[in-house]
Order: sequence, then structure tokens, then C-alpha cells
Amino acid sequence: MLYATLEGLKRFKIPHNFEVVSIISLYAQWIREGRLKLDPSWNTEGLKFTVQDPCKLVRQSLGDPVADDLRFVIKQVCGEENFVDVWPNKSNNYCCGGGGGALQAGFTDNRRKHGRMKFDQLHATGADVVITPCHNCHTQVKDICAHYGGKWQTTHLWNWIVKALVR
Amino acid sequence: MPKGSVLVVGGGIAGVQAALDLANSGFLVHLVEKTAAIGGKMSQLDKTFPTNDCSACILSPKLVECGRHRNINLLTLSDLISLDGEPGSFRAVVRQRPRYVHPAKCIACGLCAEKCPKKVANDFNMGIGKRKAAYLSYPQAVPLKYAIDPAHCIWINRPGRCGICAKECPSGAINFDEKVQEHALEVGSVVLSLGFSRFNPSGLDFTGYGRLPNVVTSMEFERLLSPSGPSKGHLERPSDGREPKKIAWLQCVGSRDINRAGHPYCSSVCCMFALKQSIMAMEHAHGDLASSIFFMDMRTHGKGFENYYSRARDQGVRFHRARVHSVIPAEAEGDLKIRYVNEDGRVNFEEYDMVVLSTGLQPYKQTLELAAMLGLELDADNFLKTDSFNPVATSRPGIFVCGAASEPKDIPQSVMEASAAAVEAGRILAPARWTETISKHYPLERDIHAAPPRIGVFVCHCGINIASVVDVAALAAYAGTDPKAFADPTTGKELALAQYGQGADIIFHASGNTGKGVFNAVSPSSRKPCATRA
Repeated sequence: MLYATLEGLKRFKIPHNFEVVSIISLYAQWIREGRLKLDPSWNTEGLKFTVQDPCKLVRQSLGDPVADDLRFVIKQVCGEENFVDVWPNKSNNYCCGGGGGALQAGFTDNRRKHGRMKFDQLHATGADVVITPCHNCHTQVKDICAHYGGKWQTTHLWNWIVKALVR
Repeated sequence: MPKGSVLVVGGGIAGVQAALDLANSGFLVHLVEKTAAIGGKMSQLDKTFPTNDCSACILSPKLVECGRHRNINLLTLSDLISLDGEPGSFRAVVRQRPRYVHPAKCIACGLCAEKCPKKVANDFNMGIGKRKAAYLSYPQAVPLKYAIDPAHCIWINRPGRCGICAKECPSGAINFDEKVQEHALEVGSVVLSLGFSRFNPSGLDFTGYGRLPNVVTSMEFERLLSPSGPSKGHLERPSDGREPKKIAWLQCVGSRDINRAGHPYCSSVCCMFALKQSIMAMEHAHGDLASSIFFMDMRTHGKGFENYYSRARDQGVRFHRARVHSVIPAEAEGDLKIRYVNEDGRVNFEEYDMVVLSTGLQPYKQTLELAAMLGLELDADNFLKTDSFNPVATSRPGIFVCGAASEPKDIPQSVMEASAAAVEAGRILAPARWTETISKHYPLERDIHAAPPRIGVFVCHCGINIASVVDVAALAAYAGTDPKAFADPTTGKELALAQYGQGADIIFHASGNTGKGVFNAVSPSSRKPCATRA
């Protein structure tokens, strides 16, 4: 939605009086302003978190600033020391291999073969949780995790914000 | 009658060579340098290809000659801000920024830098390690005068807060009130030796530069190899100080890349300096190091260069014709993994301790500004435009160019062009040769064959090397007590040698007025341990 809207506004030079921002940047802003209070002390077992940078969100539209915000929010959720970054990352991260209709188009073996690279990269972090703030990435990462025998949990960001929320 | 003087802008090796050639052929030269010392990029190099000569050993004599040449007016910390007129008669305005250290008073003792409390990144060492806000760019700097960095000096930014250097300076050379000066110069022609800047690979995020400490640029690596560098010539990698055992060089970083670097041209020197660095690194490690070069084409086009390439191959440097996809951290802390595609189109991985990016050459931003100000045409890559059959002439008559400002080139070619530009700049001023120069005047010879020999003893007492251990005034008084001693050359020499043994730093004694003389002179720094012991 976000990428398509942005791209449409840009390509067809549609005049508009609004700004397109990601909810992730809003989370980060609210945390910085103290309006959203998170406490990582729930993470007593020291669950390690890592992240997938969705192409449409980061490389193709909002760039490194939103990737930095994403990391900021995750660190607020899980604790600074429990975040393990992938490499390459941010605008340079690997594609998950599930977008562009690949998940829906059949050719499952090809899609999983492509996803092997993503699996190896995520597996190398040793993380227990992979945050995927994109629906395509989520389905693909979850699928390759199961297919190649990964042990991590694949989730969106908001579930963990709920977990860490100071009520 | 044209003017008999020439303006040379840029004090790197090309500018220095052009200035020396012009000054030695009868022209007064104003040499304008933007930093506090001449020497340019060459002064930062450890060795030069294809001979592996020590760069400073070749450069320093030229710099010293340039610094003390009576017909070279050296203007450091200066920029050319305007130029009017025509060939034979230009009027240039040069703006000189304050050094805050009086060059005639500064004895380069280094106390100001030693006591200065403000540490800043050492730009001469490419930001590796620290220097002080009061600094000497590098040990062989010409002029050998300290300078104060106005961007970082505490006093300049908050007057009254520091001023330690002014209190400590034994010769009272520090002057915070120094102002910007403008020099109006009448010159006949202009030589631009503006040099090049290095491509900054921070934007090429796949290289990991700026995020992975063991990915360095070629110039940073050069400083790591150099004895005057941050690790005193002991090769160690930045992240943990460990000696690297396996290093990769990635070629064409910022060259032949229109996709992300915007530079379609070949930088011409990177293949050679990568070969040089790979060989030097192996020598540093006494053979216990594996060097690999990832390249598109090895372009070793100069005299003796292909032999250099073959020698590197014989010495065990490995060459991969490959496209590098990315540099990512390997499992071991600080190590790096290169993902590349080889000639068969297959993806490969290989791990290294360090990665050196052979970054390309590009024009300075200031070159574009200067070219716009002077009305000079640029080529498609923003280098100063020249013509194949007139390779040192710019598009404006009377203004010449040499070195890497017109296209990337190595030191031998830059020096060649410098001499060519000097000849071209001097040719149009030929009638005015020797009109503005100062020539040497020697005293008239006298007949002294019947006079008694006299010996002078000179003890250097500038700074604290000697003055802190020898009472120079008392020594001078003592030496004057027995006039007979100085009528007798043997006793005189014994007396002089005795002072030398007691720790005098420089003594040169000459049998004056006899027509025969003996001079003994030593470098102050080499005598320092001796003087401290005495």
C-alpha cells in the first residue's frame, strides 16, 4: 500500500497535501516523545531479535532512515543487547524472495531456492525472533524457516510492542 | 615587456617541480598552497612504484630546495581568489589564511603541539589517530613551521579559555591576532597543479566501508604501511591491532563505474598502487601474508610496469578477475567475507583479515570552482580540459596545467608535465627572464696567506635540546677566554671536539680567513640522545 501509493504519487506527479510515512517511523517518534512507553525487562530469557528489511519499505521507498527507526523500535522492545543485526542490512539487505507474486505463483521450489540465501543470512544471526514488517516477507521467511529447519519465530513488529508496552 | 614572474597554484609534487624549474630558469615564482605545508599526496605515500623507492626520500630534497629557494615565494594556507589580465600580464589576488604562528620566530621545537590540550583527528594520517590543534602536518613538512588549526583551537573559538601554546612557546611565535591577508601579485603566466581528491567509498555500502573497521581505502592503508604513520610502519588492522595474514584489494572502486560512482573513466594508477601495496604488505609480514587482488583488467601501462606486475605474480600475489558483490562480516570477529562472481559466472566466497579499496581519483570540488572563476573549460569528467597536441595548455591562454588536475596520472607523468608546463609558462615570458629574480652575491675574495688562522666555534642554542643541558652563554664566554687557543688550529679543534663531547648539538668550526675550512655539522634530532645524556 505504502510503496504503491508513494510510487503512484511520484510517477504521475499527482499533487497532494499529505505526507506518506511508515507506522514504524511513527512508533519511533512516539517513543522518542515519551508518548509510547516500552520496557524491555519482560525479556528475562534474553531472546535474540533480528530483522528483515522489506524491499518496498526500505530500499525502494523510504530508505535507511526508516530502517534505522525500525531498529530503534526493536531495541526498545527487546533490549539493546538482545538485537543482532543481519549483514548486509538496511538498503543493502537481501530480498526475501517471496515478493512480486512469487508466493502466489506456484514454482515453490524456485522460490525456496531463492530464499535459501535469506535463510542462511538469518540463521547466521542465531536469533530467536525475526521481525518482518511486511506481509510478503513474513510469509516467505516463515516458510523458509520451516522448510530448511530454522528455529526462530517469525512475527510482525506490533505483537512485541504489545508485549513490552508499559500500561 | 611581459612580467618575469609566474604563479603556481598547488604545492604537490607537480607544483613543486614546476616551481623549481621556473625559478631555476630565471623567473620569480609565487607558489600557492592551500594547506600549511607543501608536499601534497606524495608526502602521504610510503613507497612509490615501480621502483619501491621511499616516497619521502625522493620528495623531501625537492621540498627543501623549494622552501629555501630565493626565487620561490612560498604562500601556504593560501587560495587564488581572482585573476585578471592576459598572457604576460596577469594580476592575481591570493588570500592567505592566518597560521597563528609567526614563521620567522617559530623554531619548530614542537612545544606548542606537545602542550596543546585539544586533540583532533589526524588528517595527514587519513583520520587514523590524533594530532593536536597546534600541529605540524608531517615530520618533513616544508616550511618546518607549526600552525594552529582555527577549526579546533580552543582560544580561537573561545578567546581566553586556553592559550597554553602562547605561554609555552620559547620564542613568542604564537599570535592569535593574525588576520587574513590578501596579496596582489603581478605575474606573466599561471601554472595550475591542483592535484586530485580521492573517491570517498562511503556511498558504496556493499563495500562495508565506514561500517566495517577493517575495510580501508588505499590511502589509509598507505598510512598504515608508512613509518611516519599511525602505527609507525607496523602493519596492524584497525579493529584489534592484530597483524593481518590475508588481505584483499578491490580494484576500480569509484572508477569505471557509472552505476553508483558516476565515474566512467579509469583512474590509471590504482592497478599499480595495489600491486605495490600487496608486495609491500608481504614484505612487512616477512612473507607470512597472502595478498589477493580482485580486478576487472590489470592496466599496467607505464615504463617497467608490466615487469612489476609479473614480479608481483611471481612473489605470490593472487589475481582474481571477478566482480565483487559485497563485503560482509565473517564469523570470526573482525574478519571479512567477500562474495564475488568469478569468470565462469559462479558465486564464490572467500574470507580475509582486511580489505583495501583501491579508490579512484577525482577532481577537487575547489577545482570546479576555480575553473568557473577563471573561465576554464572542463572535460566530461570535470577535469581541466586540455588538447592532445597541447597537453599542458588550458582553454585560456597563459594558464597552464600539470599533474592530475587534467586527468588521473601517476607521479612520473605528473613530474614530466610539470616540467613541460614550466617551459610553456616561461616561453611566453622569455624577454623578462632574470628581471625579477634575486641573484646570489658572494663576498670578495681577500689575500690572507700571511694572516694567522682563526677558528670559530658555533654552538646551536635554539630550542631546548642543548640549552636545557648546556649553559650556552657560559660556554661561549669560556671559549673566548684564551685567544691563543684560537690562533692554533689543532688546539681549536680539540676544544671544539671537547664541547661536542659535552653535548653541544651543532658545532662547526672553520679556520676562517685562512682560505681553508673544516665544517662539522650534525642533525639536531640525531644528536638529541647525546645532548640529553651530557
